Amino acid sequence: MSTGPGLESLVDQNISVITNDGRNIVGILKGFDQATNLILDESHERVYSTKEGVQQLVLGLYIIRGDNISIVGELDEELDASLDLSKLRAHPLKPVIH
Amino acid sequence: MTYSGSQLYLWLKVELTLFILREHSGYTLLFCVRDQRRTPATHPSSDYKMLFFSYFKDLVGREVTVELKNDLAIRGTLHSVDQYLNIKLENTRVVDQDKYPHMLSVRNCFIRGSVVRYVQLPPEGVDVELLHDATRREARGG
Repeated sequence: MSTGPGLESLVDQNISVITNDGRNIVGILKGFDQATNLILDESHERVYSTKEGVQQLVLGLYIIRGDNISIVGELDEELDASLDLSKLRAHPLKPVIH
Repeated sequence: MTYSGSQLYLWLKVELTLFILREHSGYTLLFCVRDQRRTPATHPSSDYKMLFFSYFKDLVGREVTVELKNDLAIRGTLHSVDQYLNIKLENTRVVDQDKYPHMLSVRNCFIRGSVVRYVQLPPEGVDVELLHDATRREARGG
């Protein structure tokens, strides 16, 4: 369906994915399908904690199963550059409870 | 009540489809209507979502708040919706940004239909009478 909220417009762009277990994975969208399975390249995880700033873990090429995806956000490069992740403190996101 | 062979087959098929749909989405609400009726279905199960699908399509361009099953609430302009009730929002902001700074650099987002708990609509976007009539009509089977 051409009018639906497909992810075509986000291909080859930096995206921020929030998974059902509350993780935040940032990477370049390389592919997706009907079930929202995603292929991410050059991805890293952003780990939030209240004790220290945001930690970034390098993951590389990743496939995330659609079942496990909550949000796919278009990462605004400008906004992202203006964020000081080392000063950002927050509780990790809660997992999704169906 | 007795069912003819083809009715029983159709009924089983619809129940099975509903079960599969229910397992793959969070929209139990949409299926309540069918669950109460144990009569053979006369139309495909996809019609159940059609009502809410078209309803959301009419809301495109409106400001909505989507509350997710991880307690995150995101406010934004409804950009589009699809058959799974996946939602795309523009100009998004998280309702409690101090508590949830995880999406600070996101302005447009795609929300998977299966994680939506509530969609808060603008009061002027709700025609209760129309929805009532439409759901009743669906419950009667057309």
